[in-house]
Amino acid sequence: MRGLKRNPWLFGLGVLLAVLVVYGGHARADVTTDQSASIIIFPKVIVDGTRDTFIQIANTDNMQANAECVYINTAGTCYDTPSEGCSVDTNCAANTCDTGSGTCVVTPTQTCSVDTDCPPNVCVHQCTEVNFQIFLTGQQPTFWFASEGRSDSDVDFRLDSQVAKVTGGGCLGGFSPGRIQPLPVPFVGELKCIEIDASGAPVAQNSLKGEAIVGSPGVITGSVVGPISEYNAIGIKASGAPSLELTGQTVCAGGDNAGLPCSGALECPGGTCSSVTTGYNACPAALYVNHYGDGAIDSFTGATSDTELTLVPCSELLEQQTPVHASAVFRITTELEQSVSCSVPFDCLLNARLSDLDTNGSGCNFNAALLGSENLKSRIRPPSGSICYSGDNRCHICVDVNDPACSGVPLGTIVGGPSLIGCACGSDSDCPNFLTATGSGSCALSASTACTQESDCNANAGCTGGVCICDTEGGTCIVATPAACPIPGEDCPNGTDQTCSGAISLGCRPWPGLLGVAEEFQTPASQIPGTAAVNLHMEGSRPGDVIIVP
Amino acid sequence: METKVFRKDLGVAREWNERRWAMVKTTRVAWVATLAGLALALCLFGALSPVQARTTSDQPAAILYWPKIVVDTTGRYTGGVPTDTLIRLSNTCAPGITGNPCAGLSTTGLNGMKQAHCFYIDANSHCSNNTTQICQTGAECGVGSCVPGWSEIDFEIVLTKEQPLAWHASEGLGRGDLPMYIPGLCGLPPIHICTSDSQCNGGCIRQQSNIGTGIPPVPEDPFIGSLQCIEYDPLANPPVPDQTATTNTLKGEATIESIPVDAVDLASYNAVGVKFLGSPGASDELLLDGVEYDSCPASLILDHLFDNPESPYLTDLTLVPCGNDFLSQTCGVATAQFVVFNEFEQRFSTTRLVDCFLETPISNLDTPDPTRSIFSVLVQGTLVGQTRIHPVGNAPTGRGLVGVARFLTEGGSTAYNLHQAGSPTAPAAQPDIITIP
Repeated sequence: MRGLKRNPWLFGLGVLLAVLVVYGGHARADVTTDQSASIIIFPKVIVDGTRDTFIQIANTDNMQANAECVYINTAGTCYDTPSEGCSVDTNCAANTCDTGSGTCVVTPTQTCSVDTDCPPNVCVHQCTEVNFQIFLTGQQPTFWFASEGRSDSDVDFRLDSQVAKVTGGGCLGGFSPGRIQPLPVPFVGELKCIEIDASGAPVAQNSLKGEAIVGSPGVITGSVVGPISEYNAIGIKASGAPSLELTGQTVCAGGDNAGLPCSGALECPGGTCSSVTTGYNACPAALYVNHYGDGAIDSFTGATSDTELTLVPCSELLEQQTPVHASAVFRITTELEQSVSCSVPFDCLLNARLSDLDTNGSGCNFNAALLGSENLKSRIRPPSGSICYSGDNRCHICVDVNDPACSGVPLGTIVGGPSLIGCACGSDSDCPNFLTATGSGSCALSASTACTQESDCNANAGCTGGVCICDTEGGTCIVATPAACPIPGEDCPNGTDQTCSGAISLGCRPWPGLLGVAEEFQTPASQIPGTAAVNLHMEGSRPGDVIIVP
Repeated sequence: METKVFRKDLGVAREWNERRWAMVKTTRVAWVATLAGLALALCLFGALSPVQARTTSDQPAAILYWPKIVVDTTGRYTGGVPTDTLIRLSNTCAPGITGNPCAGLSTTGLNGMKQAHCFYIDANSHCSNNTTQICQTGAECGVGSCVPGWSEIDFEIVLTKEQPLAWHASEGLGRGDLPMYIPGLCGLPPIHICTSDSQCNGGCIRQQSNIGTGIPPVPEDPFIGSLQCIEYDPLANPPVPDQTATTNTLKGEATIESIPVDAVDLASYNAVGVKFLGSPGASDELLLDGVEYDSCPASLILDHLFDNPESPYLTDLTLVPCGNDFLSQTCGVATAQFVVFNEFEQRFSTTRLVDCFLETPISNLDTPDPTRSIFSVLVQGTLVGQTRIHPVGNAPTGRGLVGVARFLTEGGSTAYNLHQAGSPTAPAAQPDIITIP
């Protein structure tokens, strides 16, 4: 994953811009698709020459809203295994033959979404990101076609061409949200936008909302008949001041479960659910979607149904340029109350028809005929336990022949630490050479001490040697020259008197949470198919996700 | 199953235009606009407060609203395009599954079964001189007039644990279509189907099943209206609204399916849910007051393309009240105030009554002439807009609204859920109330 664009403020700020971390048990489930939020996620952005994505974002606040946005492209490319020898192109099923080395090499235009698009080889999904900023005045809505982006002019030719798609002509304006780059073709990926203040720091303004329409621009203009689908962007709300370690929890006050996280009074018998703490809210523990089994025939339209599921991990290590490995555990329930389970691992993004998941070796079965049920309910959750987000034992799908972890294995293979089973880890020590986000990690006093003069702080046992001074504005002792501390709990002087605040371990962490959207396809015989997208339902919440933006 | 008539003719013409066929005369009064402006200003400031909105379209809940159900299998009012609505409803109660509200329940027996008590609300208009004739405009009624009317029918759905169900509104789901229909099995051999202990040697063990379910087709075709379901505890005798610790487990979706020539068109949205909060109330009067059940939002937010009368695309908005008195057949009513912002941060507003059900292209909200509407791209000069919808009023059923939007072009259509902000916070605000017969 490469950062293709950075802005000067980012370097000044440091590397850590936004972090979602929830420690403890169940946290409040305030990831939402029907309220404005401080982080909005469009899990499905498609630009493939046939379909485009019409993105709408609005500021629901009367104050200006700024956002740092990141596109993550996971369009797939067919790969032959690097060891495959050849003499002519026809020796390479999906690619071309480099006659100099006598091996198959990638053909850049050979795109794919799943392995079955590349028989007998594999479909490899790169994870590349580009970022940009948008600026919205109070209550301002804005839009752009992902294929074309938007210029920084309020009325510009590129905007005209976009509007012409919709209006059939005419010239319309609108305050520009800032320059937005057009996406390459093909693009299959996601868009994440994080609300920031004028300095570029994340802010809990909770004023962003969005929608996306996926379809042919010609359908939106009405010039052709075809499928279009619309979904709401997924929002992650924040309360208080988003800082480095964020919880966003509500807890039971009183009652049998006093002190435990809750999402409503129902979870607090004898007490109340209150005490919102600050930070970004946690991602859901599970997702739900009702859908047809693949191959089911809709009795009204007579069309054959399939569902395309798009999932993205809640965690992102964009600054570290490290694709996040995730896994979706499915529990599929039929109308007959029968349940089957399976899991599908992926990096960065999963965008696949359920019928493809039936055949990719995951053990999944969404087929209506095989299950004996046309209507299904799928519960989707991340696995239990933790994995190495970074370090030598990081689990990931091989996409780079130069990756030492991928030496000797076909591209597309999931690799992890040799001593680990299923990429699991128990602690950071299982993830040697793991990374730490140090953007604002610095040493601070473990406990604040009130002061009115320097001597009050020097008298503090933790501040001997003159390392502490009295912050007279705040009236508390502070560390005079805080040291950077890449390892939490270490690297700070004076033993237990100082701790490292803000540094985040990117070693052993819980499996990333999941967010997503489902798109139903109904394909009639010899007719134009229909599509419709729905946001997934969410259940509960889970700790541990982290988003680190450059 | 009961069929009742809410009431007839409140003097406001109904419209349910999928493609702007009907034009409805709207009367605007200056003081109303002024009042609306003041109230909306208050609304906007209020919406900035950190108070959480409470309804949800992305979590299971105890009360579900499908604001828009359309059936027109002959295409009479849909431009000749046959249309139906596929309704999906599932029970997410999963005994033994970690993290689920029903995790603590035993996986055996009848644990996890849920019941939905549902109401179709028929918002068709009919001719005054022939009450069996559905109409949209007076022209269809000859010497008569087209009279708005609303009626409801209610029915029960029993769901086994984790079970998904789906049906087309035009067809319903009869006894022969139910996936699980075995009421019980004898505990000792010979094991056979039973309904009572007297039929068995050793007692009849009741099984999880859909018995008790009867989903009727919508009462008319064409049909426009809404669906509302309340989670019940099927193990109570008689069944009552489920206000136990394992409630809030219903989720739903709807897909409006159309069959234009040589194509299929789909538009899906999630049912809007209201959660039970833990303070049990009367079993026949559900308070959406933020104490017993979550309250409906103070504002709905709709992002949309401005309608373009010169190009065939528009946004169709559907709004329904949160509160309804099904006992006395008093339908919910509220005044919806609309504040519209374009891409230049310019602000416009209008007001519209929502009496039981409102479904209209947004460019007909304020005027019958869409070219002069504040929702017209010709008036706004920008392509997209953001509209805040603030319900006000003091009806005994409350003032809350929920809704859904559908974007239509000549090429296809799509639907999406509205966003929301804030809860009605005024202490004296009348909570939304659902009264069950």
